[in-house]
Amino acid sequence: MLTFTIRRLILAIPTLLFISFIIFLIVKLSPSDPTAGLPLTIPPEVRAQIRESLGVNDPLFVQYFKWLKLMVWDEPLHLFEGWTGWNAAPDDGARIISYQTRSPVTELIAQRMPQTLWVVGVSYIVGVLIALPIGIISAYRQYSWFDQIGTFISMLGFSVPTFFTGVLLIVIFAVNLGWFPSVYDTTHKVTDWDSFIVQLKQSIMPVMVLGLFNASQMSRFMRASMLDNLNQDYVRTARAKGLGERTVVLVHVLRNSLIPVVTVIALNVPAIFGGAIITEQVFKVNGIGQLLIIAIQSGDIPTVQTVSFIFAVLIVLFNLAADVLYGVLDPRIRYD
Amino acid sequence: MVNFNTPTPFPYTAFVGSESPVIQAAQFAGCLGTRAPECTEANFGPIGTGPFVVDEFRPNDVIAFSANENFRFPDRPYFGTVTFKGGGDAAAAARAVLETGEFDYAWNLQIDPTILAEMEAQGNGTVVSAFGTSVERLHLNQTNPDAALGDIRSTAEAGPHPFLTDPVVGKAMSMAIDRALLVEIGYGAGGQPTCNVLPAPELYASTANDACLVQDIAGANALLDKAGYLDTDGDGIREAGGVPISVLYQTSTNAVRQDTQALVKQWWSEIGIDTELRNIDASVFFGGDPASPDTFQKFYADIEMYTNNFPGVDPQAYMANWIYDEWPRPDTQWQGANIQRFCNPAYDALVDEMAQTADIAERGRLAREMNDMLVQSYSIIPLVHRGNPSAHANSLEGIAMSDWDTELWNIMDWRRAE
Repeated sequence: MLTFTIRRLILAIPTLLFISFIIFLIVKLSPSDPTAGLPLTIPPEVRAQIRESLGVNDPLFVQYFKWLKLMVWDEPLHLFEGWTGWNAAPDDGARIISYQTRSPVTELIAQRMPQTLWVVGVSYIVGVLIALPIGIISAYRQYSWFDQIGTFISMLGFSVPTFFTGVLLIVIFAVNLGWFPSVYDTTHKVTDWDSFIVQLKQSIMPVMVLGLFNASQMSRFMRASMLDNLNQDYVRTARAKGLGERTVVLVHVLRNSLIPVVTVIALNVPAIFGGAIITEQVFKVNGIGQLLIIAIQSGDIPTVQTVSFIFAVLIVLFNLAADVLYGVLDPRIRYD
Repeated sequence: MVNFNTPTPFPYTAFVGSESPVIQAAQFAGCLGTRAPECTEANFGPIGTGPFVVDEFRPNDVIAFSANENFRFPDRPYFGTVTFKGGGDAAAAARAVLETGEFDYAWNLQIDPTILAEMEAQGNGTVVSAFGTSVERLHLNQTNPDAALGDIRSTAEAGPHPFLTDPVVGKAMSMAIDRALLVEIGYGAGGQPTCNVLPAPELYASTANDACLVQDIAGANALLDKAGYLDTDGDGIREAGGVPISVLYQTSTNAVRQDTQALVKQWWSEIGIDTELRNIDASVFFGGDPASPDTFQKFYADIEMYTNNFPGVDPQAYMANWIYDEWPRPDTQWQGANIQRFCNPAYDALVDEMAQTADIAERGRLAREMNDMLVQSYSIIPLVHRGNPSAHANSLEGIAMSDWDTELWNIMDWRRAE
């Protein structure tokens, strides 16, 4: 298993280099200009100076290798320095600088990570916690009223877009009832019980909107996978040798049914870090997703490159995690 | 100390608004020239002379301010802290002030006017707007943008436009437009119909063109008939010298602009002018990339629409946009502000005269004359004088909205109603 993991990690390096180059090219060749968002009253010679100072005029490969070096070497060192206080990073001031804000991209990401992890992460956990029991019960009692209602709700959650449910919840709970705020306060700090309640209130709507969306997809996978397994011979054998229904379903069937579901869960984890662009916009959470969308709109190439590259790394890593988890769930799957 | 390089008839621009803020020399000493991108800390927390100081700056998310202890008025500002929240959209910002009352002030509320009015009707807040010099206008290409001309299209070498250089055509197009309806549908409190490219300050605003405020489709048709632009082949489209009058009308992608395009296309079809619509993403359209064929400077179309304005209160530099030297062309990398390629030596002379005239009344006369010359050439068709709608909670007092400076110019006087 360890050899397998190491081999996969080494193989990931060319993959990531290739991805990074493609991301770089796509973003770079897109016809947008970093000065387009500035007022028309700025004279053209000043615009030319701004472009020059951003390094837009360097040859493409020079720009790519400059960016790559900063991305894989300087920025991790700066991150390391920030965490430990050791003076590890080079002091030449070279960072990946956002065109838009003139500040290091990694700092922007660090500012936005907490709210994205809190809102999107919690909603994912809530989604999994809702989805698994619903999937299991729906499959075990197939075509019962519970299954019918579960199917209806998951279809609803999956097919109604979050920009609709989000605004609907805001109109009901923020505008009409006034229970929850419609604007997420990213500077709020949880220090005691009262401030925790405030945090809970401001995150409950985005968490539920995203949670419902995630749960509906996963509960369908869980249900389908359970149904496949419930009709297998080993289930009949287990029952025939006198095992209780609880053991049969929750130990024998569940474990086997989890394999495809784990794939879905693990491969969706990078999306947590990516934020939920639309939901973040609707509730003004201003996390990673919103950072990415604003960067795309304003031609802020370094930010787009960095954020998409981080997504690529996460996707590669969680793919590997899913593969390793198969082995844990099913001892017959071994890679060595 | 401020030194002027040349005699400047209107020197009243330094230190009088957000265009020329006062920042600390010591703080920015190491941030000049090429070092400018490295000064994140200074850029995010500049030391100035205003009523509030920056506590925390999170780009595109939050800026937290607290009262400046060293402010020049010891008893002001009245508020201890101010928080700016970004993200979301204009409708959400309006909702947070007018419906849920979570925030006290929201700016740049360019949303459907009926929605804004409904929100205001709930009684939590008030919509206010101020008008500066922004005018949404159509530029009529005076050079030939025919794609068959290749690289020389929309330049002087391409020759004049086959029909848009005739003011009669432009005048008929202008007459066919119902500006009041455009305002009602797209702008609400944030717009007023206008016939001038220079709508304000009052001293500079001409009244010579106000006839355009009333739509006159019959008059426009009569005008074109009289000038000999007739529909000879009966397909509903007039011809100019045998060529159908068909225009490509482009603008940036934006809901209000596409509504305007659709309405204008309808009105022009009623006067026998065929219109093809096109919209281009704002980051490309306004991007100015000389390699892109879709920038507003290249103007590879017959007509384009956008808004422009000038900072401050003096129009001298702005009116100088329409001199011949300002034509965007290949040897300037397509930079230049004379977008519609207007050319009139008499206009260039007026620009020179204004640069040497100090008397304010005389400057007013010159500016109005230039405005009339431009508008009556019908190379530019002004549509909407755009304001800037904002909303404030009813419990907030002391707001004096102005578009001549930042609308927060007097935030030191803002206070909570008793």
